[in-house]
Amino acid sequence: MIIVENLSIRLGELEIVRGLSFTLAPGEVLGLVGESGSGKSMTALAVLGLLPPGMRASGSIRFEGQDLLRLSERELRAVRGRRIGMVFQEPMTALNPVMTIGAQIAEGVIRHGLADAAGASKRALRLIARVGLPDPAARLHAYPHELSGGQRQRALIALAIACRPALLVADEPTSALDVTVQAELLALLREIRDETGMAMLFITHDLAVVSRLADRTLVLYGGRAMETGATRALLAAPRHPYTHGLLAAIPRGNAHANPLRPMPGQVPELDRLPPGCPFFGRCPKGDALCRDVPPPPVPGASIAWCHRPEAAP
Amino acid sequence: MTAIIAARNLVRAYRLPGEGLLGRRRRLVAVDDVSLELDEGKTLGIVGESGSGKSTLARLLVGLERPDRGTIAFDGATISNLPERALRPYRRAMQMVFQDPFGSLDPRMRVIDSVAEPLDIALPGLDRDAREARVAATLAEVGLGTSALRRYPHQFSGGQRQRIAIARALITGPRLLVADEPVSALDVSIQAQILNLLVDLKLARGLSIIFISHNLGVIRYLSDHVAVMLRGRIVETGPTERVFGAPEHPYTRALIAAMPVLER
Ligand SMILES: Nc1ncnc2c1ncn2[C@@H]1O[C@H](COP(=O)(O)OP(=O)(O)OP(=O)(O)O)[C@@H](O)[C@H]1O
Ligand SMILES: Nc1ncnc2c1ncn2[C@@H]1O[C@H](COP(=O)(O)OP(=O)(O)OP(=O)(O)O)[C@@H](O)[C@H]1O
Ligand SMILES: [Mg+2]
Ligand SMILES: [Mg+2]
Repeated sequence: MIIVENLSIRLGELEIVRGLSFTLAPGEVLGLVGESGSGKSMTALAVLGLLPPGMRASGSIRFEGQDLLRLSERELRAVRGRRIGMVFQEPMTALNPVMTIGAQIAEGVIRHGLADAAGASKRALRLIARVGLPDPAARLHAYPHELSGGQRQRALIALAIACRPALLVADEPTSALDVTVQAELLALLREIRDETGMAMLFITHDLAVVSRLADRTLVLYGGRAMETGATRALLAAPRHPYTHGLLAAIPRGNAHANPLRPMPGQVPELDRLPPGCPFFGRCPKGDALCRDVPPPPVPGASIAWCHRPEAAP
Repeated sequence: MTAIIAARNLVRAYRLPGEGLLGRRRRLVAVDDVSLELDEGKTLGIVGESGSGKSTLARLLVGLERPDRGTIAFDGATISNLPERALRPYRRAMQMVFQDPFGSLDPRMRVIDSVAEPLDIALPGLDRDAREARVAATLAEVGLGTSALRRYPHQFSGGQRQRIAIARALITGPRLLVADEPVSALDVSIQAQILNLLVDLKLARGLSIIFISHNLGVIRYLSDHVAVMLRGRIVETGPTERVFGAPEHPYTRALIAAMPVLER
Protein backbone atom coordinates (compact mmCIF):
# COMPACT_ATOMS: atom_id res chain seq x y z
CA MET A 1 0.00 0.00 0.00
CA ILE A 2 2.97 2.27 0.45
CA ILE A 3 6.09 1.70 -1.57
CA VAL A 4 9.05 3.96 -0.90
CA GLU A 5 11.80 3.68 -3.46
CA ASN A 6 15.23 5.17 -3.38
CA LEU A 7 14.19 8.05 -1.14
CA SER A 8 16.90 10.67 -0.70
CA ILE A 9 16.56 13.93 1.18
CA ARG A 10 18.99 16.76 0.59
CA LEU A 11 19.56 20.10 2.17
CA GLY A 12 21.82 21.91 -0.25
CA GLU A 13 25.02 19.86 -0.37
CA LEU A 14 24.08 17.78 2.64
CA GLU A 15 22.55 14.39 2.09
CA ILE A 16 20.34 13.83 5.11
CA VAL A 17 18.84 10.58 3.85
CA ARG A 18 20.27 8.48 1.04
CA GLY A 19 18.59 5.80 -1.04
CA LEU A 20 16.02 4.41 1.40
CA SER A 21 13.51 1.86 0.18
CA PHE A 22 10.76 0.16 2.15
CA THR A 23 7.20 -1.05 1.74
CA LEU A 24 4.19 -1.47 3.99
CA ALA A 25 1.21 -3.72 3.39
CA PRO A 26 -2.20 -3.01 4.97
CA GLY A 27 -2.14 -3.92 8.66
CA GLU A 28 1.63 -4.13 8.69
CA VAL A 29 3.89 -2.33 11.17
CA LEU A 30 7.39 -1.21 10.20
CA GLY A 31 9.64 -0.11 13.06
CA LEU A 32 12.14 2.60 12.19
CA VAL A 33 15.03 2.79 14.65
CA GLY A 34 18.50 4.26 14.66
CA GLU A 35 20.96 6.86 15.81
CA SER A 36 19.71 10.25 16.96
CA GLY A 37 19.96 12.49 13.89
CA SER A 38 19.98 9.58 11.43
CA GLY A 39 17.01 10.89 9.44
CA LYS A 40 14.02 9.05 10.92
CA SER A 41 11.86 12.12 11.46
CA MET A 42 12.81 13.58 8.07
CA THR A 43 11.80 10.30 6.41
CA ALA A 44 8.43 10.53 8.16
CA LEU A 45 8.04 14.17 7.17
CA ALA A 46 8.88 13.32 3.55
CA VAL A 47 6.03 10.79 3.49
CA LEU A 48 3.71 13.52 4.74
CA GLY A 49 5.05 16.17 2.38
CA LEU A 50 6.05 18.29 5.34
CA LEU A 51 9.82 18.59 4.98
CA PRO A 52 11.28 21.82 6.38
CA PRO A 53 11.98 24.59 3.91
CA GLY A 54 15.05 23.99 1.79
CA MET A 55 14.95 20.20 2.03
CA ARG A 56 14.28 18.30 -1.18
CA ALA A 57 13.17 14.70 -1.48
CA SER A 58 13.86 12.56 -4.53
CA GLY A 59 12.89 9.00 -5.43
CA SER A 60 9.27 7.96 -5.12
CA ILE A 61 6.68 7.34 -2.41
CA ARG A 62 3.75 5.48 -3.93
CA PHE A 63 0.60 5.47 -1.82
CA GLU A 64 -2.86 4.42 -3.00
CA GLY A 65 -1.83 4.75 -6.63
CA GLN A 66 -0.20 8.18 -6.40
CA ASP A 67 3.38 9.34 -6.00
CA LEU A 68 3.25 11.54 -2.92
CA LEU A 69 6.42 13.33 -3.96
CA ARG A 70 4.66 14.58 -7.09
CA LEU A 71 1.44 15.86 -5.50
CA SER A 72 0.65 19.54 -5.14
CA GLU A 73 0.24 21.00 -1.68
CA ARG A 74 -3.53 21.02 -2.22
CA GLU A 75 -3.64 17.36 -3.20
CA LEU A 76 -1.43 16.50 -0.25
CA ARG A 77 -3.76 18.24 2.15
CA ALA A 78 -6.56 15.86 1.18
CA VAL A 79 -4.33 12.88 2.03
CA ARG A 80 -2.66 14.22 5.16
CA GLY A 81 -4.71 13.82 8.32
CA ARG A 82 -7.28 11.79 6.35
CA ARG A 83 -5.65 8.80 4.62
CA ILE A 84 -2.38 9.25 6.49
CA GLY A 85 -2.52 10.09 10.18
CA MET A 86 0.50 11.46 11.97
CA VAL A 87 1.88 11.70 15.47
CA PHE A 88 4.81 14.10 15.65
CA GLN A 89 7.81 13.72 17.90
CA GLU A 90 7.14 16.87 19.90
CA PRO A 91 3.53 17.16 20.99
CA MET A 92 3.85 20.79 22.04
CA THR A 93 4.85 21.92 18.57
CA ALA A 94 2.25 19.76 16.83
CA LEU A 95 -0.70 20.96 18.88
CA ASN A 96 -2.26 24.36 18.43
CA PRO A 97 -1.64 26.19 21.72
CA VAL A 98 -4.71 28.42 21.47
CA MET A 99 -7.28 25.74 20.65
CA THR A 100 -8.74 23.22 23.06
CA ILE A 101 -7.91 19.56 22.52
CA GLY A 102 -11.53 18.73 21.68
CA ALA A 103 -11.81 21.49 19.10
CA GLN A 104 -8.59 20.37 17.40
CA ILE A 105 -9.81 16.81 17.02
CA ALA A 106 -13.26 17.89 15.84
CA GLU A 107 -11.82 20.35 13.35
CA GLY A 108 -10.05 17.66 11.29
CA VAL A 109 -13.09 15.41 11.29
CA ILE A 110 -15.27 18.27 10.01
CA ARG A 111 -12.72 19.50 7.46
CA HIS A 112 -12.49 16.07 5.87
CA GLY A 113 -16.29 15.88 5.74
CA LEU A 114 -16.62 12.88 8.05
CA ALA A 115 -19.17 14.38 10.45
CA ASP A 116 -21.03 17.57 11.28
CA ALA A 117 -20.11 19.73 14.26
CA ALA A 118 -22.19 17.76 16.76
CA GLY A 119 -21.01 14.40 15.45
CA ALA A 120 -17.40 15.56 15.42
CA SER A 121 -17.39 16.70 19.01
CA LYS A 122 -18.99 13.42 20.07
CA ARG A 123 -16.26 11.59 18.20
CA ALA A 124 -13.64 13.78 19.90
CA LEU A 125 -14.98 12.90 23.34
CA ARG A 126 -15.02 9.19 22.50
CA LEU A 127 -11.45 9.31 21.23
CA ILE A 128 -10.16 11.22 24.25
CA ALA A 129 -11.67 8.54 26.46
CA ARG A 130 -10.27 5.80 24.26
CA VAL A 131 -6.67 6.99 24.51
CA GLY A 132 -7.13 6.94 28.27
CA LEU A 133 -7.13 10.61 29.25
CA PRO A 134 -8.62 10.80 32.73
CA ASP A 135 -11.80 12.87 33.09
CA PRO A 136 -12.36 13.11 29.30
CA ALA A 137 -15.33 15.51 29.50
CA ALA A 138 -13.15 18.08 31.26
CA ARG A 139 -10.06 17.37 29.11
CA LEU A 140 -12.08 18.05 25.96
CA HIS A 141 -11.91 21.71 27.02
CA ALA A 142 -8.26 21.69 28.08
CA TYR A 143 -5.61 23.67 26.24
CA PRO A 144 -2.36 21.82 25.48
CA HIS A 145 -0.41 23.61 28.24
CA GLU A 146 -2.91 22.35 30.78
CA LEU A 147 -1.97 18.75 30.10
CA SER A 148 1.00 16.74 31.32
CA GLY A 149 3.55 15.56 28.75
CA GLY A 150 2.02 12.12 28.47
CA GLN A 151 -1.51 13.48 28.30
CA ARG A 152 -0.50 15.68 25.37
CA GLN A 153 0.98 12.72 23.60
CA ARG A 154 -2.25 10.80 24.07
CA ALA A 155 -4.25 13.76 22.75
CA LEU A 156 -2.04 13.73 19.69
CA ILE A 157 -2.70 10.04 19.11
CA ALA A 158 -6.44 10.70 19.37
CA LEU A 159 -6.03 13.43 16.77
CA ALA A 160 -4.05 11.13 14.48
CA ILE A 161 -6.57 8.30 14.44
CA ALA A 162 -9.69 10.51 14.38
CA CYS A 163 -10.21 10.11 10.62
CA ARG A 164 -9.42 6.37 10.57
CA PRO A 165 -6.36 6.67 8.35
CA ALA A 166 -5.04 3.84 6.19
CA LEU A 167 -1.50 4.62 7.32
CA LEU A 168 -0.32 6.00 10.64
CA VAL A 169 3.07 7.68 10.70
CA ALA A 170 4.03 7.83 14.36
CA ASP A 171 7.26 9.44 15.56
CA GLU A 172 8.08 8.40 19.14
CA PRO A 173 4.39 8.25 20.03
CA THR A 174 4.80 6.51 23.36
CA SER A 175 8.13 7.68 24.76
CA ALA A 176 6.56 10.18 27.19
CA LEU A 177 4.16 7.66 28.69
CA ASP A 178 4.43 5.55 31.79
CA VAL A 179 4.77 1.88 30.98
CA THR A 180 1.22 0.93 31.95
CA VAL A 181 -0.30 3.65 29.75
CA GLN A 182 2.20 2.75 27.05
CA ALA A 183 1.08 -0.87 27.12
CA GLU A 184 -2.56 0.25 26.87
CA LEU A 185 -1.86 2.52 23.93
CA LEU A 186 0.10 -0.12 22.06
CA ALA A 187 -2.83 -2.48 22.60
CA LEU A 188 -5.19 0.22 21.31
CA LEU A 189 -3.09 0.75 18.18
CA ARG A 190 -3.01 -2.98 17.54
CA GLU A 191 -6.78 -3.11 18.03
CA ILE A 192 -7.32 -0.34 15.48
CA ARG A 193 -4.95 -2.07 13.11
CA ASP A 194 -6.97 -5.28 13.43
CA GLU A 195 -10.29 -3.44 12.98
CA THR A 196 -9.35 -1.22 10.07
CA GLY A 197 -6.21 -2.68 8.52
CA MET A 198 -4.30 0.50 9.35
CA ALA A 199 -0.59 0.18 8.55
CA MET A 200 2.01 1.90 10.72
CA LEU A 201 5.40 3.46 10.22
CA PHE A 202 6.51 3.47 13.83
CA ILE A 203 9.60 5.41 14.91
CA THR A 204 11.01 4.67 18.33
CA HIS A 205 14.20 4.29 20.32
CA ASP A 206 12.66 1.66 22.50
CA LEU A 207 13.75 -1.66 21.09
CA ALA A 208 11.45 -3.50 23.49
CA VAL A 209 8.48 -1.65 21.98
CA VAL A 210 9.74 -2.48 18.49
CA SER A 211 10.04 -6.13 19.43
CA ARG A 212 6.41 -6.24 20.52
CA LEU A 213 4.78 -4.16 17.81
CA ALA A 214 6.74 -4.15 14.58
CA ASP A 215 6.47 -6.96 12.05
CA ARG A 216 9.57 -5.68 10.32
CA THR A 217 12.30 -3.28 11.36
CA LEU A 218 14.57 -0.89 9.50
CA VAL A 219 17.74 0.35 11.21
CA LEU A 220 19.21 3.70 10.12
CA TYR A 221 22.57 5.32 10.72
CA GLY A 222 23.87 8.50 9.14
CA GLY A 223 20.86 8.70 6.85
CA ARG A 224 21.35 5.25 5.38
CA ALA A 225 19.84 1.83 5.87
CA MET A 226 22.05 -0.46 7.94
CA GLU A 227 19.84 -3.48 8.31
CA THR A 228 16.26 -4.53 7.68
CA GLY A 229 14.23 -7.67 8.13
CA ALA A 230 11.62 -9.46 10.19
CA THR A 231 11.85 -7.92 13.68
CA ARG A 232 12.27 -11.18 15.55
CA ALA A 233 15.08 -12.41 13.33
CA LEU A 234 16.83 -9.06 13.31
CA LEU A 235 16.81 -8.68 17.08
CA ALA A 236 17.61 -12.31 17.79
CA ALA A 237 20.64 -12.37 15.52
CA PRO A 238 21.60 -8.91 14.32
CA ARG A 239 23.95 -9.08 11.35
CA HIS A 240 25.09 -5.46 11.30
CA PRO A 241 27.65 -4.35 13.91
CA TYR A 242 25.62 -1.18 14.49
CA THR A 243 22.49 -3.17 15.38
CA HIS A 244 24.70 -5.21 17.70
CA GLY A 245 25.98 -2.07 19.38
CA LEU A 246 22.44 -0.80 19.91
CA LEU A 247 21.34 -3.97 21.63
CA ALA A 248 24.43 -3.91 23.83
CA ALA A 249 23.72 -0.33 24.96
CA ILE A 250 20.41 -1.10 26.68
CA PRO A 251 20.90 -0.58 30.43
CA ARG A 252 20.70 -3.69 32.54
CA GLY A 253 20.83 -3.42 36.31
CA ASN A 254 22.63 -0.64 38.17
CA ALA A 255 25.62 1.50 37.15
CA HIS A 256 27.75 0.11 39.99
CA ALA A 257 27.17 -3.48 39.02
CA ASN A 258 26.73 -3.30 35.24
CA PRO A 259 28.42 -0.19 33.79
CA LEU A 260 27.29 0.59 30.26
CA ARG A 261 29.72 0.62 27.43
CA PRO A 262 28.38 2.95 24.74
CA MET A 263 29.71 2.58 21.22
CA PRO A 264 33.15 4.11 20.94
CA GLY A 265 33.56 7.48 19.25
CA GLN A 266 31.09 10.15 18.25
CA VAL A 267 28.53 10.31 15.51
CA PRO A 268 30.35 12.14 12.73
CA GLU A 269 28.77 15.25 11.27
CA LEU A 270 26.85 14.56 8.09
CA ASP A 271 29.32 16.45 5.92
CA ARG A 272 32.24 14.46 7.31
CA LEU A 273 31.02 10.96 6.63
CA PRO A 274 33.50 8.66 4.93
CA PRO A 275 32.75 7.78 1.30
CA GLY A 276 32.03 4.15 2.26
CA CYS A 277 29.96 2.97 5.21
CA PRO A 278 28.77 5.79 7.51
CA PHE A 279 29.46 3.60 10.55
CA PHE A 280 33.14 3.31 9.63
CA GLY A 281 35.31 4.77 12.38
CA ARG A 282 33.09 3.48 15.16
CA CYS A 283 32.69 -0.04 13.87
CA PRO A 284 34.84 -2.69 15.54
CA LYS A 285 35.15 -4.49 12.19
CA GLY A 286 35.75 -1.53 9.90
CA ASP A 287 38.65 -1.70 7.42
CA ALA A 288 39.82 0.13 4.30
CA LEU A 289 37.10 -1.40 2.14
CA CYS A 290 34.44 -0.16 4.59
CA ARG A 291 35.97 3.30 4.56
CA ASP A 292 36.09 3.64 0.78
CA VAL A 293 33.24 1.63 -0.71
CA PRO A 294 29.55 1.89 0.22
CA PRO A 295 28.48 -1.59 1.30
CA PRO A 296 25.92 -3.41 -0.85
CA PRO A 297 22.84 -5.03 0.71
CA VAL A 298 23.80 -8.53 1.77
CA PRO A 299 20.81 -10.87 1.98
CA GLY A 300 20.47 -13.45 4.73
CA ALA A 301 18.14 -13.87 7.71
CA SER A 302 17.93 -10.08 7.41
CA ILE A 303 19.39 -7.72 4.84
CA ALA A 304 22.53 -5.97 6.08
CA TRP A 305 24.36 -3.18 4.28
CA CYS A 306 27.72 -4.36 5.48
CA HIS A 307 30.99 -5.67 4.05
CA ARG A 308 31.54 -7.80 7.14
CA PRO A 309 28.11 -8.99 8.29
CA GLU A 310 27.71 -11.59 11.00
CA ALA A 311 27.16 -15.00 9.53
CA ALA A 312 23.81 -16.60 10.27
CA PRO A 313 24.00 -18.52 13.56
CA MET B 1 24.90 15.62 56.82
CA THR B 2 22.29 18.07 55.60
CA ALA B 3 20.35 17.18 52.51
CA ILE B 4 21.10 19.23 49.41
CA ILE B 5 17.39 19.55 48.87
CA ALA B 6 14.56 18.75 51.25
CA ALA B 7 10.87 19.24 50.53
CA ARG B 8 8.22 19.08 53.23
CA ASN B 9 4.53 18.54 52.61
CA LEU B 10 4.38 20.23 49.22
CA VAL B 11 0.95 20.91 47.77
CA ARG B 12 0.18 22.43 44.37
CA ALA B 13 -3.30 22.58 42.85
CA TYR B 14 -4.55 23.69 39.42
CA ARG B 15 -8.01 24.47 38.22
CA LEU B 16 -9.40 21.82 35.92
CA PRO B 17 -10.46 23.22 32.57
CA GLY B 18 -14.22 23.77 32.44
CA GLU B 19 -16.96 25.31 30.40
CA GLY B 20 -16.38 28.84 31.68
CA LEU B 21 -19.01 30.90 33.48
CA LEU B 22 -21.54 28.34 34.62
CA GLY B 23 -19.53 25.13 34.69
CA ARG B 24 -17.69 25.69 37.96
CA ARG B 25 -14.05 24.77 37.60
CA ARG B 26 -12.99 21.98 39.89
CA ARG B 27 -9.55 21.88 41.44
CA LEU B 28 -7.00 19.27 40.63
CA VAL B 29 -4.36 18.64 43.25
CA ALA B 30 -1.34 17.92 41.04
CA VAL B 31 1.12 17.55 43.93
CA ASP B 32 -0.49 16.36 47.11
CA ASP B 33 1.51 16.46 50.33
CA VAL B 34 4.86 15.38 48.93
CA SER B 35 7.99 15.23 51.06
CA LEU B 36 11.40 14.13 49.88
CA GLU B 37 15.06 14.51 50.69
CA LEU B 38 18.21 14.09 48.67
CA ASP B 39 21.74 13.81 50.08
CA GLU B 40 24.54 15.57 48.25
CA GLY B 41 26.08 13.46 45.50
CA LYS B 42 23.16 11.08 45.33
CA THR B 43 20.60 10.41 42.65
CA LEU B 44 16.88 10.14 43.24
CA GLY B 45 14.84 8.58 40.44
CA ILE B 46 11.19 9.53 40.17
CA VAL B 47 8.83 7.31 38.22
CA GLY B 48 5.09 7.30 38.14
CA GLU B 49 1.84 7.51 36.35
CA SER B 50 1.53 9.94 33.49
CA GLY B 51 -0.11 13.03 34.99
CA SER B 52 0.85 12.08 38.54
CA GLY B 53 2.60 15.40 39.20
CA LYS B 54 6.26 14.63 38.45
CA SER B 55 6.89 17.65 36.24
CA THR B 56 4.94 19.88 38.61
CA LEU B 57 7.07 18.64 41.51
CA ALA B 58 10.22 19.33 39.49
CA ARG B 59 9.13 22.90 38.77
CA LEU B 60 8.37 23.42 42.46
CA LEU B 61 11.77 22.10 43.54
CA VAL B 62 13.74 24.48 41.33
CA GLY B 63 11.49 27.41 42.20
CA LEU B 64 9.82 27.90 38.82
CA GLU B 65 6.45 27.47 40.47
CA ARG B 66 5.47 28.21 44.05
CA PRO B 67 3.85 25.60 46.24
CA ASP B 68 0.42 26.40 47.69
CA ARG B 69 1.65 24.82 50.88
CA GLY B 70 4.82 23.22 52.20
CA THR B 71 8.48 24.21 52.29
CA ILE B 72 11.63 23.57 50.28
CA ALA B 73 15.11 23.86 51.74
CA PHE B 74 18.32 23.94 49.70
CA ASP B 75 21.44 23.09 51.64
CA GLY B 76 19.54 23.66 54.86
CA ALA B 77 18.17 27.11 53.94
CA THR B 78 14.48 27.54 53.28
CA ILE B 79 13.99 28.89 49.76
CA SER B 80 10.31 28.36 49.09
CA ASN B 81 9.35 31.72 50.63
CA LEU B 82 12.17 33.80 49.15
CA PRO B 83 11.35 36.65 46.78
CA GLU B 84 12.49 36.20 43.18
CA ARG B 85 15.65 38.32 43.65
CA ALA B 86 16.87 36.34 46.62
CA LEU B 87 16.29 33.13 44.71
CA ARG B 88 18.81 34.01 41.99
CA PRO B 89 21.97 32.51 43.52
CA TYR B 90 20.08 29.28 44.06
CA ARG B 91 18.95 29.23 40.44
CA ARG B 92 22.58 28.93 39.45
CA ALA B 93 23.17 26.01 41.79
CA MET B 94 20.06 24.18 40.59
CA GLN B 95 19.54 23.55 36.91
CA MET B 96 16.61 21.91 35.22
CA VAL B 97 16.23 19.98 31.98
CA PHE B 98 12.65 20.28 30.79
CA GLN B 99 10.52 17.49 29.44
CA ASP B 100 9.83 19.30 26.16
CA PRO B 101 13.24 20.37 24.81
CA PHE B 102 11.74 22.39 21.99
CA GLY B 103 9.61 24.44 24.31
CA SER B 104 12.58 25.20 26.54
CA LEU B 105 14.97 26.46 23.86
CA ASP B 106 14.42 29.94 22.44
CA PRO B 107 13.84 29.39 18.70
CA ARG B 108 15.43 32.74 17.80
CA MET B 109 18.67 32.09 19.66
CA ARG B 110 21.64 30.29 18.16
CA VAL B 111 22.69 27.18 20.05
CA ILE B 112 25.86 28.84 21.31
CA ASP B 113 23.83 31.61 22.97
CA SER B 114 21.17 29.29 24.36
CA VAL B 115 23.74 27.02 25.93
CA ALA B 116 25.85 29.95 27.17
CA GLU B 117 22.91 31.82 28.70
CA PRO B 118 23.27 30.41 32.23
CA LEU B 119 27.02 30.99 31.94
CA ASP B 120 26.53 34.63 30.89
CA ILE B 121 24.51 35.19 34.04
CA ALA B 122 26.98 33.37 36.28
CA LEU B 123 30.19 34.81 34.75
CA PRO B 124 29.25 37.99 32.89
CA GLY B 125 32.88 38.98 32.33
CA LEU B 126 33.93 35.88 30.41
CA ASP B 127 35.70 36.73 27.13
CA ARG B 128 34.28 35.52 23.83
CA ASP B 129 36.83 32.84 23.06
CA ALA B 130 36.67 31.33 26.52
CA ARG B 131 32.88 31.40 26.38
CA GLU B 132 32.81 29.66 23.02
CA ALA B 133 35.38 27.08 24.15
CA ARG B 134 33.32 26.30 27.21
CA VAL B 135 30.13 25.85 25.15
CA ALA B 136 31.94 23.66 22.62
CA ALA B 137 33.40 21.48 25.36
CA THR B 138 30.01 21.02 27.00
CA LEU B 139 28.38 20.18 23.68
CA ALA B 140 31.12 17.65 22.99
CA GLU B 141 30.28 15.94 26.28
CA VAL B 142 26.76 15.34 25.02
CA GLY B 143 27.98 14.18 21.63
CA LEU B 144 27.49 17.29 19.50
CA GLY B 145 30.16 18.84 17.27
CA THR B 146 31.16 22.46 16.78
CA SER B 147 28.99 22.87 13.69
CA ALA B 148 26.07 22.98 16.12
CA LEU B 149 27.21 26.30 17.59
CA ARG B 150 25.82 28.69 14.99
CA ARG B 151 22.65 26.79 14.14
CA TYR B 152 19.13 27.33 15.46
CA PRO B 153 17.11 24.78 17.47
CA HIS B 154 14.72 23.92 14.62
CA GLN B 155 17.67 22.70 12.57
CA PHE B 156 18.23 19.76 14.90
CA SER B 157 16.61 16.39 15.40
CA GLY B 158 14.58 15.72 18.56
CA GLY B 159 17.41 13.91 20.30
CA GLN B 160 19.95 16.57 19.32
CA ARG B 161 17.73 19.25 20.85
CA GLN B 162 17.38 17.21 23.99
CA ARG B 163 21.17 17.08 24.24
CA ILE B 164 21.42 20.85 23.72
CA ALA B 165 19.06 21.28 26.67
CA ILE B 166 21.24 18.97 28.78
CA ALA B 167 24.38 20.92 27.83
CA ARG B 168 22.66 24.15 28.85
CA ALA B 169 21.83 22.70 32.25
CA LEU B 170 25.34 21.38 32.87
CA ILE B 171 27.46 24.28 31.62
CA THR B 172 27.64 26.20 34.90
CA GLY B 173 28.49 23.10 36.91
CA PRO B 174 25.35 23.10 39.06
CA ARG B 175 25.24 21.28 42.38
CA LEU B 176 21.75 19.93 41.75
CA LEU B 177 20.36 18.80 38.41
CA VAL B 178 16.62 18.24 38.09
CA ALA B 179 16.12 16.41 34.82
CA ASP B 180 12.63 15.70 33.49
CA GLU B 181 12.69 12.88 30.94
CA PRO B 182 16.11 13.98 29.69
CA VAL B 183 16.89 10.87 27.65
CA SER B 184 13.46 9.88 26.32
CA ALA B 185 14.28 11.03 22.76
CA LEU B 186 17.72 9.44 22.57
CA ASP B 187 18.74 6.22 20.92
CA VAL B 188 20.15 3.73 23.38
CA SER B 189 23.75 4.33 22.38
CA ILE B 190 23.65 8.08 22.97
CA GLN B 191 21.50 7.47 26.01
CA ALA B 192 24.30 5.30 27.38
CA GLN B 193 26.78 8.10 26.74
CA ILE B 194 24.62 10.64 28.63
CA LEU B 195 23.98 8.26 31.51
CA ASN B 196 27.71 7.65 31.86
CA LEU B 197 28.33 11.40 31.74
CA LEU B 198 25.90 11.87 34.64
CA VAL B 199 27.50 9.03 36.60
CA ASP B 200 30.92 10.64 36.02
CA LEU B 201 29.71 14.07 37.17
CA LYS B 202 28.20 12.49 40.22
CA LEU B 203 31.38 10.65 41.16
CA ALA B 204 33.86 13.37 40.19
CA ARG B 205 32.02 16.52 41.20
CA GLY B 206 29.43 15.26 43.64
CA LEU B 207 26.56 16.33 41.39
CA SER B 208 23.19 15.57 42.98
CA ILE B 209 20.49 14.49 40.56
CA ILE B 210 16.72 14.22 40.56
CA PHE B 211 15.93 12.18 37.50
CA ILE B 212 12.38 11.77 36.22
CA SER B 213 11.76 9.04 33.68
CA HIS B 214 9.27 6.51 32.48
CA ASN B 215 12.09 4.23 31.50
CA LEU B 216 12.49 1.91 34.47
CA GLY B 217 15.69 0.43 33.08
CA VAL B 218 17.26 3.89 33.03
CA ILE B 219 15.96 4.72 36.52
CA ARG B 220 17.38 1.52 37.89
CA TYR B 221 20.71 2.13 36.22
CA LEU B 222 21.21 5.63 37.56
CA SER B 223 19.39 5.96 40.88
CA ASP B 224 20.46 5.38 44.47
CA HIS B 225 16.89 5.86 45.65
CA VAL B 226 13.58 5.68 43.83
CA ALA B 227 10.27 7.41 44.50
CA VAL B 228 7.09 6.23 42.84
CA MET B 229 4.29 8.75 42.23
CA LEU B 230 0.61 8.12 41.75
CA ARG B 231 -2.07 10.82 41.62
CA GLY B 232 0.03 13.54 43.18
CA ARG B 233 1.51 11.46 45.97
CA ILE B 234 4.66 9.49 46.56
CA VAL B 235 3.29 6.03 47.20
CA GLU B 236 6.57 4.21 47.63
CA THR B 237 10.19 5.16 48.15
CA GLY B 238 13.35 3.29 49.00
CA PRO B 239 16.78 2.17 47.85
CA THR B 240 16.67 1.27 44.16
CA GLU B 241 17.41 -2.43 44.43
CA ARG B 242 14.85 -2.84 47.21
CA VAL B 243 12.11 -1.11 45.20
CA PHE B 244 12.85 -3.14 42.07
CA GLY B 245 13.55 -6.38 43.91
CA ALA B 246 10.70 -6.29 46.42
CA PRO B 247 8.16 -3.63 45.42
CA GLU B 248 5.60 -3.02 48.14
CA HIS B 249 2.90 -0.83 46.63
CA PRO B 250 0.53 -2.44 44.13
CA TYR B 251 1.15 0.39 41.65
CA THR B 252 4.91 -0.17 41.78
CA ARG B 253 4.27 -3.84 41.15
CA ALA B 254 2.02 -3.00 38.20
CA LEU B 255 4.70 -0.73 36.75
CA ILE B 256 7.40 -3.35 37.03
CA ALA B 257 5.10 -5.95 35.53
CA ALA B 258 4.34 -3.65 32.58
CA MET B 259 8.02 -2.94 31.86
CA PRO B 260 8.41 -3.69 28.18
CA VAL B 261 10.87 -6.51 27.68
CA LEU B 262 12.77 -7.21 24.55
CA GLU B 263 11.20 -10.23 22.91
CA ARG B 264 13.50 -12.16 20.66
N1 LIG C 1 15.36 22.14 9.56
C1 LIG C 1 16.56 21.56 9.47
N2 LIG C 1 17.60 22.20 8.90
C2 LIG C 1 18.81 21.61 8.81
N3 LIG C 1 19.10 20.38 9.25
C3 LIG C 1 18.12 19.70 9.84
C4 LIG C 1 16.80 20.24 10.00
N4 LIG C 1 16.04 19.33 10.62
C5 LIG C 1 16.84 18.27 10.86
N5 LIG C 1 18.08 18.49 10.39
C6 LIG C 1 19.21 17.54 10.43
O1 LIG C 1 18.85 16.39 9.70
C7 LIG C 1 19.36 15.21 10.29
C8 LIG C 1 18.24 14.21 10.46
O2 LIG C 1 17.30 14.72 11.39
P1 LIG C 1 16.03 13.86 11.89
O3 LIG C 1 15.19 14.81 12.66
O4 LIG C 1 15.41 13.15 10.76
O5 LIG C 1 16.74 12.81 12.87
P2 LIG C 1 16.08 11.64 13.71
O6 LIG C 1 16.60 10.36 13.18
O7 LIG C 1 14.60 11.82 13.76
O8 LIG C 1 16.74 11.88 15.14
P3 LIG C 1 16.13 11.80 16.63
O9 LIG C 1 16.14 10.37 16.99
O10 LIG C 1 17.12 12.58 17.43
O11 LIG C 1 14.77 12.43 16.61
C9 LIG C 1 20.00 15.66 11.61
O12 LIG C 1 21.40 15.65 11.44
C10 LIG C 1 19.50 17.07 11.83
O13 LIG C 1 20.47 17.86 12.47
N1 LIG D 1 -1.03 24.58 33.94
C1 LIG D 1 -1.88 23.61 34.26
N2 LIG D 1 -3.20 23.83 34.36
C2 LIG D 1 -4.06 22.85 34.68
N3 LIG D 1 -3.70 21.58 34.94
C3 LIG D 1 -2.39 21.28 34.87
C4 LIG D 1 -1.41 22.27 34.52
N4 LIG D 1 -0.19 21.68 34.52
C5 LIG D 1 -0.41 20.39 34.85
N5 LIG D 1 -1.72 20.15 35.05
C6 LIG D 1 -2.32 18.86 35.46
O1 LIG D 1 -1.64 18.46 36.63
C7 LIG D 1 -1.45 17.05 36.63
C8 LIG D 1 0.04 16.75 36.84
O2 LIG D 1 0.76 17.15 35.68
P1 LIG D 1 2.33 16.90 35.52
O3 LIG D 1 2.73 17.55 34.26
O4 LIG D 1 3.02 17.31 36.77
O5 LIG D 1 2.35 15.31 35.39
P2 LIG D 1 3.58 14.33 35.09
O6 LIG D 1 3.64 13.36 36.20
O7 LIG D 1 4.78 15.10 34.76
O8 LIG D 1 3.03 13.56 33.81
P3 LIG D 1 3.81 13.01 32.49
O9 LIG D 1 4.46 11.74 32.90
O10 LIG D 1 2.68 12.74 31.54
O11 LIG D 1 4.75 14.06 32.03
C9 LIG D 1 -2.01 16.54 35.31
O12 LIG D 1 -3.28 15.97 35.54
C10 LIG D 1 -2.12 17.77 34.44
O13 LIG D 1 -3.21 17.67 33.56
MG1 LIG E 1 13.33 12.44 15.28
MG1 LIG F 1 5.85 15.35 33.00
